[in-house]
Amino acid sequence: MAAETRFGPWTSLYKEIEDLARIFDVADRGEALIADLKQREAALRAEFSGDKHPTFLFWFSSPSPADDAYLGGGNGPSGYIADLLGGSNAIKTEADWPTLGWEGILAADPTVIVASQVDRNRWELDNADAKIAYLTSDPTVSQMDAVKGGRIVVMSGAAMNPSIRTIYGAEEVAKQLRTLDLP
Amino acid sequence: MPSDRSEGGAGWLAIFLALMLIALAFVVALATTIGDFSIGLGTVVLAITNGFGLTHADIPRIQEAVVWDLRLSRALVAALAGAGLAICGAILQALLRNALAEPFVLGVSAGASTGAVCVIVLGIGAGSLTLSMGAFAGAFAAFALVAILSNGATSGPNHTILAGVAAAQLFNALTSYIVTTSGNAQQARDVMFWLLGSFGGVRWGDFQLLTVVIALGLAICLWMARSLDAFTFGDEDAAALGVPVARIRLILFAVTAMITATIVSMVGAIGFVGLVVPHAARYVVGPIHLRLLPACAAVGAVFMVLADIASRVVATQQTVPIGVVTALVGVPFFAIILYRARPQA
Repeated sequence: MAAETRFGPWTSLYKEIEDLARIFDVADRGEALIADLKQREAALRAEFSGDKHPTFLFWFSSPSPADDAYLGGGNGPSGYIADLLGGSNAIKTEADWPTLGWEGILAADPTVIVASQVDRNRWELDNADAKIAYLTSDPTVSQMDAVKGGRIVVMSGAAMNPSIRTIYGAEEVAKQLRTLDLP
Repeated sequence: MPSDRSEGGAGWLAIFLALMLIALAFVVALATTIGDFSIGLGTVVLAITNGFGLTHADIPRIQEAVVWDLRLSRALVAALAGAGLAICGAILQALLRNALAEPFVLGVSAGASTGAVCVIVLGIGAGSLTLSMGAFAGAFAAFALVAILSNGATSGPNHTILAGVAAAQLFNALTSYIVTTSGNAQQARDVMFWLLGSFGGVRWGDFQLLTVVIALGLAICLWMARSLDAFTFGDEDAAALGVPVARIRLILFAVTAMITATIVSMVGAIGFVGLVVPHAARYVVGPIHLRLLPACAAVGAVFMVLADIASRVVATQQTVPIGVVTALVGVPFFAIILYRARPQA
């Protein structure tokens, strides 16, 4: 499954860590970090290899509740996280950061909504709490199955960029998924 | 023959307007049935009749909301925006006696962009309300500059166009300066999206505001329609016919700036409609403004709703900026008109 995401498997990231570690003459620590990340990846993949295949919506931010939302697209890091957790990205576009109106999001009907916490404080909906407040209070959006089923999880927005934080983001989502009752 | 139509009394206009209203009803209906979320035709009809309070059918809340709150409000705002931009185009083409005049010729769009970019990039305030207000303030700043540069619009059409071009250049430069010196890639993308326009964020509140502004603007323009006709012969002839040239020009500039600024602050700068629709409408109903303005409103409305439908369906799970579609759809359409209206040898 991993090969389906443009982003994974993580060979390029591991290569980069290896190169940097060699440049700074700490090759052993680089190896240790790679081993650690690989182990975390494998652990998640093993844990979520069951018969549940949820779809995830990764909501990065929006200028305002009504505006089209910036989402984590198809095969980017968001898709990789979804894949690690035994599911797939509800947004299938090739674009890394598509914008989509709420009708499109309602139509995508994700199993789980990932509300990202973006620490830049530029838009009111950068904040994960503001996203959750909108999802649960808007008369229409609150009718989505994911919202009605309480399947909203919070993840650091930085994990939606390709970096070592992507795996930490996947772990953050995994921790909350364990407490949820997935359909 | 076009000349027959333009001289041919109210009958042809009435038929044309009736046809356009039917077309508008049809495209709005089409807009409410098309979208990512597939909803059966029967449910769409019930959602709309429920919305008007005619029925109380029990349909899924989510489908009802998609049809009523997202699609219908969006289609109607698109229709009003198209109508408004087309009216402004017709007015400015008459006032400035220039076939290339359009709502953004007074620098209004460039000013609105600068205002919006100040909010997006410099972070003056936050949220969509301040964004709209920033755009509105910028639009009127540009308009005021043009009014001052052209001596309160007393110094003739060419002077006003030059003032508008200067204002547009100035504000575009300011926008580029702000984006290149303080923006990042993500912000540049926000700005670009905003500049190309989107109906994504509109709701019923926008529809109500736009209805008031455009109804008021259209009423003022229709009231002055005969003076507008006189402008076609030039300022001096219009003055000789008893038209208070400077006053009417200033009032109508202010009306078009008001309509354009409201539209731009709501849905961004959507190009092409204001330029093309008046020419298309003039070809059908002739140049008399009492007929031209209603025809422009109707054609602009239909065109914009169609363009918005295209912007939603052309790419799945992604919305294409409406300004891209108006130009892509509009240019071939305009080319046909230009070709058919070419002077007969």
